[in-house]
Amino acid sequence: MQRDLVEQARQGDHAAFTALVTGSINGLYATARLILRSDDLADDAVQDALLRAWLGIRGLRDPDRFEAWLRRLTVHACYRAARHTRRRRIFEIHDLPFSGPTTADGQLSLAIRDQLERGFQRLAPEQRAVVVVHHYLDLPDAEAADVLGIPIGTLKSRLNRAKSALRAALAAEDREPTITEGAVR
Amino acid sequence: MNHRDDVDRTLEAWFRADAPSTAPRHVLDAVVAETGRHGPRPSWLVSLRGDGMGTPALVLGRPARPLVLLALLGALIVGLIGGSLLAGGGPRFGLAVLPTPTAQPTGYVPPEPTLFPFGGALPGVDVPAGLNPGTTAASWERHVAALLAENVRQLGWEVGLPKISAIRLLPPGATYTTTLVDGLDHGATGFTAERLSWAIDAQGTMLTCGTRCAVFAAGTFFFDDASEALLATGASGSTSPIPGVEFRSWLRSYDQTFRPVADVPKGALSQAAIRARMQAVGEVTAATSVDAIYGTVTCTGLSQTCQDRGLAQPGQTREIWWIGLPEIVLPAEAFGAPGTAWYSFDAVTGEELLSAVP
Repeated sequence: MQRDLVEQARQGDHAAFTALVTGSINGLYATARLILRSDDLADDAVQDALLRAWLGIRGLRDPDRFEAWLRRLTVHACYRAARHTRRRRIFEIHDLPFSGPTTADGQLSLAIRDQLERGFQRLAPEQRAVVVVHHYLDLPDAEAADVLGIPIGTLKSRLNRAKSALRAALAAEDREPTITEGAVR
Repeated sequence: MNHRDDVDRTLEAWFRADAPSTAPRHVLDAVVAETGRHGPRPSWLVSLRGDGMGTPALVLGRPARPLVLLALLGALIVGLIGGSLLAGGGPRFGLAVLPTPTAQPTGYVPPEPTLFPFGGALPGVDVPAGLNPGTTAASWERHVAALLAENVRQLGWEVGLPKISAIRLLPPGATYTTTLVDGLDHGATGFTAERLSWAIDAQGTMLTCGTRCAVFAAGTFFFDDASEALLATGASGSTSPIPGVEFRSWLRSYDQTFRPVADVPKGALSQAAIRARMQAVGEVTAATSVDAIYGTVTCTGLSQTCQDRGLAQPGQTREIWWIGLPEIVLPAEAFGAPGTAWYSFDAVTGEELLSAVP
């Protein structure tokens, strides 16, 4: 079914392309959002990727690779979005004593999330993409490397470095969560 | 058991919780609308240009033919040069000569805005000092409001972006400054769905940026919303009426339509205090610049964003500061040049409404 739609889209059938996009956009958006940590940037990246997909679909020789191709376009669109964004950082300072969720679990969860967010934001976009493709899309190494456009060895080393950085970020949990950092435009 | 021993599981749980289940509807709408305006490129052009990632062959599952393509391209260039010489015109290389941008309306109407080079500096354009907001947040007398999605169409947007935007209400005929909310270079794809900041005078006349407002690295280009004519470059442009009296009428009652947001006061902590607190957690060095420009966020509800900020009690506040971090050891491309930016936050939900950086 999808193969037929891809073939039709390659012939310029916009309705077929729309059907393909409708079926794929949620996953692509989630991937972009996780990599970029920004709704706006994810919007842009997904739109950019899908427009490029439409413009370039006649170059796709193997319709069975459509999904992987879209993922790769999206990851690269994320790189572009991250590169072209003038980055700034916000630090939020608790002016009052921290008063998060009342349960112990809730506080722990919030703290970990805070640390993860901080650590993840520190990663280069390429490292974030590796982590998301590996841990969220859960692709086999070969397919993940294909999506990312890198050799498997590079994927593994990049993933290790990223996870080491995240481990270090989590190790800082004992610090009081007084500052929240976000990268913004 | 130490939960940090298993980063993999932590990450996966975080991603599961954090990943949006659906894409916003406007993203699909924008894609469908934009792709509906163009057909796919012919396959030979795709081969030449690649698939949009600079990798033409391998990812597409076909053998690369770079030599053939290069040979064809070379033959084409030779043919063009030869033809030009034979015609007596002499060879002409390089980009098309652009009209010199001015700070005043020119009336020049480019066939397509995409004739301008995308990315990089635009030769001959000096960004006027008034183009960007002032150097302090206080210089912006802003009204930040939630723009309702259904009203976006009344602005003439074919595909509305149900996003927050900013409107400045200026005296009729006043010159204005504007800045782009989204400074992304969308590349040569012709995307026009940038998020913009609008300037509107008190009579409801849109001063800038309708459906077309192409912003490049070194200047801003204002296009008439209706005709798409290039009105001006740089700091000022002539006014462009908003299409439709309906919108004008609606604008006059914007108090009922927009949800006003409390202005953001400056923070109370000193730079030295904020730097000391950041240094205490190893975030900054003594040389890091710290600007006190944002102020506070106050949450009076229990939205997720408020809770994420640790603001679960009504009236609790957090201070928001902006900081330039050139000294932090991270990839150089992760940071732009330090400067002044301004942010606004919803006083009720704690959501970031709008940001702009000069």
